[in-house]
This record gives sequence, C-alpha cells and structure tokens, in this order.
Amino acid sequence: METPAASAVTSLLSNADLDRLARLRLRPLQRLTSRTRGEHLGGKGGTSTEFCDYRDYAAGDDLRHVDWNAFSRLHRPYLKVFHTEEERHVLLVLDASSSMRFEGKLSRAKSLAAAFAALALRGHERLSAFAFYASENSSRQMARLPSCAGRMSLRKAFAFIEAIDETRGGDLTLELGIERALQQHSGGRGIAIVISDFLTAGDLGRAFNLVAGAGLELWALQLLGPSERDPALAIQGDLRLVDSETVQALDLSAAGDLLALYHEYRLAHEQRLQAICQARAGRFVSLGSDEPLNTVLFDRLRRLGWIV
Amino acid sequence: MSFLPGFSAPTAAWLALLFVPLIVFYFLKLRRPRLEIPSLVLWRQVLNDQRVNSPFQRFKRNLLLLLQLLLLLLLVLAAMQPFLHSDAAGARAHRRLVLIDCSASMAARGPNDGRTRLDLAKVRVRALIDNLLPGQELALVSFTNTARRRADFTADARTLREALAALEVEDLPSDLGEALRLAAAVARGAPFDSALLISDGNFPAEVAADLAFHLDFERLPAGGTNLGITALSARRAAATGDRAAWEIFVQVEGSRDADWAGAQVELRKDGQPLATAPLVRANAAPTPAATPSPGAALIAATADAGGSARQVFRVDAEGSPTGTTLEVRLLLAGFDALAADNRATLRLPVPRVLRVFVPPTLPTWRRALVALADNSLDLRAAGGGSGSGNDEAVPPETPFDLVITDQPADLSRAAGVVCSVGFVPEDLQRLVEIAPANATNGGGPSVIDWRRDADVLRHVELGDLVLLETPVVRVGATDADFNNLGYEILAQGGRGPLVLERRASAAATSSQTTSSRFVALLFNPDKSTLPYRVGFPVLVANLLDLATRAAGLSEVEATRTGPAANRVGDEASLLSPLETSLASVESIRFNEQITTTAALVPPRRERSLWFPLALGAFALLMVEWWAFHARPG
Repeated sequence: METPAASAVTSLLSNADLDRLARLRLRPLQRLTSRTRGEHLGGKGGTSTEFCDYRDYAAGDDLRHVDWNAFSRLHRPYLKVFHTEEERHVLLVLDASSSMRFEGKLSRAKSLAAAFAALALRGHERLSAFAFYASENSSRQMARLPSCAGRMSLRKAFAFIEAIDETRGGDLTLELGIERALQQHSGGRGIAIVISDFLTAGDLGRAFNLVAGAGLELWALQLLGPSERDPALAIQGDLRLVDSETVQALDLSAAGDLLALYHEYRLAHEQRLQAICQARAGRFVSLGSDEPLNTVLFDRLRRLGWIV
Repeated sequence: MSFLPGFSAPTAAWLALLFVPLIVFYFLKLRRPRLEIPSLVLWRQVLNDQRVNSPFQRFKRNLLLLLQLLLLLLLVLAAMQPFLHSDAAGARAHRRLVLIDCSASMAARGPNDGRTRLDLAKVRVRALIDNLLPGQELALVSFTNTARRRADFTADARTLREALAALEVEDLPSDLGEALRLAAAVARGAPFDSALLISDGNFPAEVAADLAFHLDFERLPAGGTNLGITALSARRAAATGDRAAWEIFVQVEGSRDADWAGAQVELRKDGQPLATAPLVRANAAPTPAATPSPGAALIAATADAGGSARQVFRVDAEGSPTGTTLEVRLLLAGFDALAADNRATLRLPVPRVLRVFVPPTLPTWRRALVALADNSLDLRAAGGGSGSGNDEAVPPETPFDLVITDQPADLSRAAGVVCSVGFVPEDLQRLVEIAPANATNGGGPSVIDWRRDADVLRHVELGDLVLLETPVVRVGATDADFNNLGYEILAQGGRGPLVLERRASAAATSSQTTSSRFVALLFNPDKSTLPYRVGFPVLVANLLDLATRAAGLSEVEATRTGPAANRVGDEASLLSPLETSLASVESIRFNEQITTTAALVPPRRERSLWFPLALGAFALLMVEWWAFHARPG
C-alpha cells in the first residue's frame, strides 16, 4: 500500500488507490434496491424510459402505459413495462470495540471502510455508516454517518471514518452493534458491510437475520491480527489471558501444547460464520490485518467477485 | 528381599505437613504473566475441550504445583532416610566385624584393570561404610598370618575410611584361624551380630577354629596368572670337599594356566648377575641352554606335571669373609599377577670348621670323630685331651656346634647340639635311674625298639646291643612324664628309655641346656658293645650331621617373611606355594562341621536411598527452573 501523501484526499487511502477504485464498483449477489429513484435497475418494472416488456392489462392499471398501437392491431390492451432504476443503499457497520484495537485491525478496518465508501458513493449508491464502541446506550458510544450520496459526500464519509477513535475501545458485542445500527438505519435496501473480528460468543445468527430482514445483503469481513491467526508468536508457557473487552481472565498452562487445538477451533469458527452468511445469501471472508491493502482490494475481493 | 523400603527416621514424616502451606501459598502467590488479548472466545472453547480436560492435561495445567509437590515429597522421603532391605541374614546387623585379608596373594593384579585384590576389597568395604545406617557400626580387622584390629566398632565413617585407607598388603601367608581367634576375642568384649570375611580365598579350606558367630564369606574375583619362587635353599657340596662350593636349589611354581613361555631364573651373587637359566616344564619343548658363568653352573633342571619346575645351580662362594648373599629373580615375558614371589634371597654363611667339644674321658667318641671328619673339625676338650684334637683348656662360654659329654657340668655349654652320654640329666633323675644290668632283672633283649627314622638313630642298628648298665624307670613314672618334660623316647630298653631327644622349644623351659637339640644317651657306650658295632660311627656321623645343619654349615634355607620382615627384601622371601598358586577355596569348613560358602558377588545389603532421593529432588528443581524460566520462547 502506498503511503498517502500530504495532498491525499484521505489518510486512509492513497490517491492511486482511489483512482483504481474509481474504475470499480460493488457487485452484490442480489438486486436489492430502495424505492427511491436511482441509477440501479430495480427488481420489478418501473417508470424509466427504457422498455422492458409487455404484460396483459388488468383492471386498475394506469391507462397511460397501454400500448395503443398494439391495441389497434390486436384489439386487446397490453401494457408496456419499463425498467425501474432505483437507489441502492450501502450500510457500513464498523466494529470499533476494544478487540479491534490490537495489531492494527481497526486501522485496516477503517481503510477497508473508506474503500467501500468510495466504491459506494462513486457507484451512485447511498451510504450510511456506523461505528460502535461500548455497550452503554448513549450517542457517545456509537458514531453514525447519516445517509448520504454522491461524490460530494466522499470527503464527508472519509472524515467520518477518519474520526473513528482507534484508542477508545469498548465492550459492545458485535450482535448488539449490528442491532443498534439497524435500529438507526433509514430502511434503504442494499448491502450491509460488516467489518469486525467476529470474536463474539453471542448469537450472530439473529443479528444476521435482522440484516437480511432489513433487505440488506450481508457482506462480512473478518479481520484477525497475526497473533490471532498464529498464537505461537505471543503465547507460550503459563499465562493469565485477559479479555480486552470483558476484562475476564483465563489461566493457561503449557499453552504451547494447546496451539493445535486453537487452530482447530479458529478454523471451525470461520466455517461457522461462512455457513451463517451463506444461509442468508451473504458473503464472508477472513482477512489478516497484516495483509497488504492492495492485495485485499484489488486481488482477493476481485477474485471473490465482491467488486468488479 | 523385600521391595518395600524401611525408614531410619520415620518421625521425619511430619514434614509432610508442609504440603498444606505449599498448596495454600501456591494458589495465593501464583503469579502468571498477564497478557491482554482481543478476546477469550476461542481460548475458552479450547479449554473446554475434552482433550484438554483429560486427567493428564489437568495435571499439566498445574504443572508447577505438581513439580513442587513432587520436590517436597522427595525431600520428605530423603529426610526419613529410607533404605532397601536385604535378603542376607547378616545384612540387618547393627554391629558387624569385617575381616579383610591382607596376605601376599591380595596383591595379585587382574589382567585387565591392574587393580590388586586388596583394592577391590577396599571398594567393597567402602561401599559398606557409605551405606551405614543410623545405629549400625563396623569394626575392621586385617589379617595375614597374624590378625590386627584396625578400627573398633564405630559408626564414624571418617575413622573407618582412614583405617581402610591405611591397609596395605603384607608379603605374608594368610592364616584365617588367627583372624577368627581375634574375632572371637573381640566378640567377648564387644558382641557383634555377624562377621564378614572379604578375601580372595587363598587359604586352606579347613580351618581349625570354632565359629561362635555368623560369618559371611565374600570372595573376590581371582587375579591373573602367576609364577613365583616357592623354595630356595642351599646345600654345601660335600662331594668335592670344597667348603666354598654350594648347590642352590630353586623351585618355581605357578597358578593354573600360568604362562611359562620365556620364563627364566636369574641368579645374582652380592648384587651381580651370576647365571641365567630358562625354566623347563614337563612335556615341554627343549629350552635354550643356560648362560654359562665362571662362578656358577646349572647342574640340574627338572619339572613335573604338577606345575612346578626345579633348578639346581652350583655356586662358588669362595672369597667371602662376611658371607655371601644370593638373590634369585624370576624373569617373565608374560603377565604376572604377583610381584612379591618373583624374588628370593639366601644368605650363605661364612665357611668355617665345625666346633666340637668332647671331654678326654670319651676317647672312643673322639677317635670316631677324628676318623669321620678329618680336617673339617675343630675338636676340643676341657683340661687337656688325648692328643687327637685341639685339647687346650676351653672356657665355659666358648660356643660349640656339638658337645658330647659324660659330665653333667658340660650341659650348660652353648652349642647347637648336645649329647649326654652315660648319665641321667638332672631333670630326668626323678623319672629314671641307671642300674647295672643283670640276668635276673634284665633277662630279655637290651633294646626293645628304636625310632629308625629319627635323625640321630638313622641307619643305626641297635638290635643286638649288649649293655652292662641300663636305665631303669622309676616306679610310677610313665611315658607321659617324659613327654611332659619335652623328651621324646627314641630307643626303648627293657627297663627304661635308652635314648631320648629334646627339641629347642622344650629346652626353653629348662635351664640346664642351651642347645637347640639335646640327645641323652642314658647308657654308657663304653659299657656296652656299641663301639664295636657299625652303628657307632653311624651314630657319631648322625650327630655331626645334626650339628652341621644346626650351624647352617651344610644346608641353608632362605628366610621367609615373618615377624622379622613383613616385606620381601632385606633377605626375607615369600616362598609360599599357596600364595603363589593364587588358588581360591569356595567354601570353608570349620570345626563342628560348619561350612561357609563363598559369594563371588557382594550380598545385597541395606542400601540407603536418601542420596538418590536428594539427587532426584535436585534434578527436579533443575527441570522446574528450565521449564519455567530458562526454556526458550
């Protein structure tokens, strides 16, 4: 990743990356759009100027859409159906809790969020973003970017993402964070991009059901630090492990002998997340916080078909 | 043998209460390095896994506590001083006497390690000392042909080790009876439970001693092969009439499977090599000829199938006014286990004439002596003589080799051999008297029987002897009375003993004579037909031969090591066929049919375990230190 220059638009991405992102767009699996007019084809007929199909007339249909030329030839009324172009909503949910402060996970999450924001806004989608910290139900503990659209909103979105505090931390669990973000969501359909380490003991299935119920296609990006992917780098011997969010302690003896089991459980956790997402027509990918951003954006996500 | 250990200090088990504070302090003071991680979600799942919660893994989770408990357990066990029981009866003894053989054969070295048998014995005794349990005591006794107490019963390991270190091999044969007698004497003063004999078994299999205590015989492994000189003597070569010519007799014996190849006997005179001759063995190939020498010559070399070889040298000892020292060395090409028997010395006396005292009242004897010995006698008499000898007056203190007298006063003269003729010595007068022989009282033969194998009466025929006077035993006197006075009856007459002999040991109790051998002829030859018989010059010749041998003028034997010299050298030699053979008995038979069988390996004894336990605790401490502090990563 190139270091953003002083003249860069944002500190999260280099100008070169922004230029490359300008030629890409998000590629959702489903055609989920909002009612509001936009530039994305809706799933059903609309009022655009682009002809789509004919259908039989039914009582109550708008007579303005009857193809009178066809009626004169066939003596039966047919209605012309046009494509509808609607707006798609992109909801960014960023986990800024304490667990994301380790090994540059939150920093990488912010970069990815900035890249997705750029893709959304340049792709004529409507963008809203949430970052959550602690479980206290106050506005301080959750940052929100109100729904915005258009290229003019890029700086605003970048400013919001840059303002996410990497040192604050918090204990809000991911499922609660998603729930609260959906509560404040304007209701637009589209894509929900959740960037987190997904290290939670809560019921993620319910949270993802809420996402799907809100008409959002779930994109889950898991970010893990190097020591989480390979604990042998940091954990040896007898230790007292302390959870960064709950401050609970766990005594570990001869940790070196448990590493194989840890890897087993980590892979099982990833497979479970993948299964949950796929069951809700969503996507899941696990990334390392130490993987180069260019590789993630322009190689892995493109290979996976997330962006084209 | 019981595999359950015993404990010498069981009260130390109270130290096990330290487990309680150890566990309490462990959980109170356990400090693990804290490490903050993003989430415990995965680690909780790992720790809840069944594989982690197996009993062994549970132990591993508290490995440090487990190690500390194990360390304390080892220390408590060590403090209780455990020991393994033994199957040996004497092993549980509280007081044990250790008899250590220090005879010459214990200097035998093994063919491989070069250690002497005594070194091996010291190793075993040191193991005994090191494994002494509280309340156990040892005493050390070393023995050769005499026994000596080296350390009284004590539990002080330092004293015992010092006494053990002071033990050295002495070039003496072993006498187990002496050791057992000393042990019995020790038992009377300080009773003990058992005795342990550590020896190579080089002693007679039968010991004339009563065994009043339990004896364990620990036999050491045999040493290597050995050859040694077992006999060395010299005899004057009378055939030539040359006083300075000696025939030296050397006998060499060996242990079983001894290497005789290349073995030679070297004869040295006053430190200078005189002759060298190879040893011959029975049924062996011809050996190289002896090295010729102007002063010595090998005149005979024989061997028998029993494993011994004999050589006879003729040596000219002329020109040695102070005597000649002959040294015989055994030159060996192969391995030899024992060095002490490879050298023997012999002191040849200064040549001189035989000094004989015969009073003029015994002309018959004087004439016989002159006729037999010619110029080899210095014949003297008190107060003038018959003219056939040097008969000037002789002071009473003048030493003689042979005294033949009919005067009781001459019995006090210093002489090697004294022969009284025709009177009853004072100490015998209460047992016998001389009476005239008559037909009434002595109708039978004058001489009933005589000892034909006695040195004095060898080849002397007394069968038809006629006596005018005959000794008569007094009423009530028996042969036992003569024996009690040290006399041995050599010739028995019809009414009493005719000839008696008393050895030097018996003479020591009597103040009448100072001779080594005393022969009493209780009849007067001049009053018998003896001077007219062939037996008379033979009798005189026998007396001369006895005197010559007693004076060391005809035969000399090498001095054996003994009270005067415990080491080979200084004109003392080992000369012990048993020690040289390195033979070893497997069992010892005592009086009352008691038999003790040897054990080649040390019997199992109580083995103290505190040191291995303490060592294990230290090793455990090192493991703990490495595992929790020094292990990389």
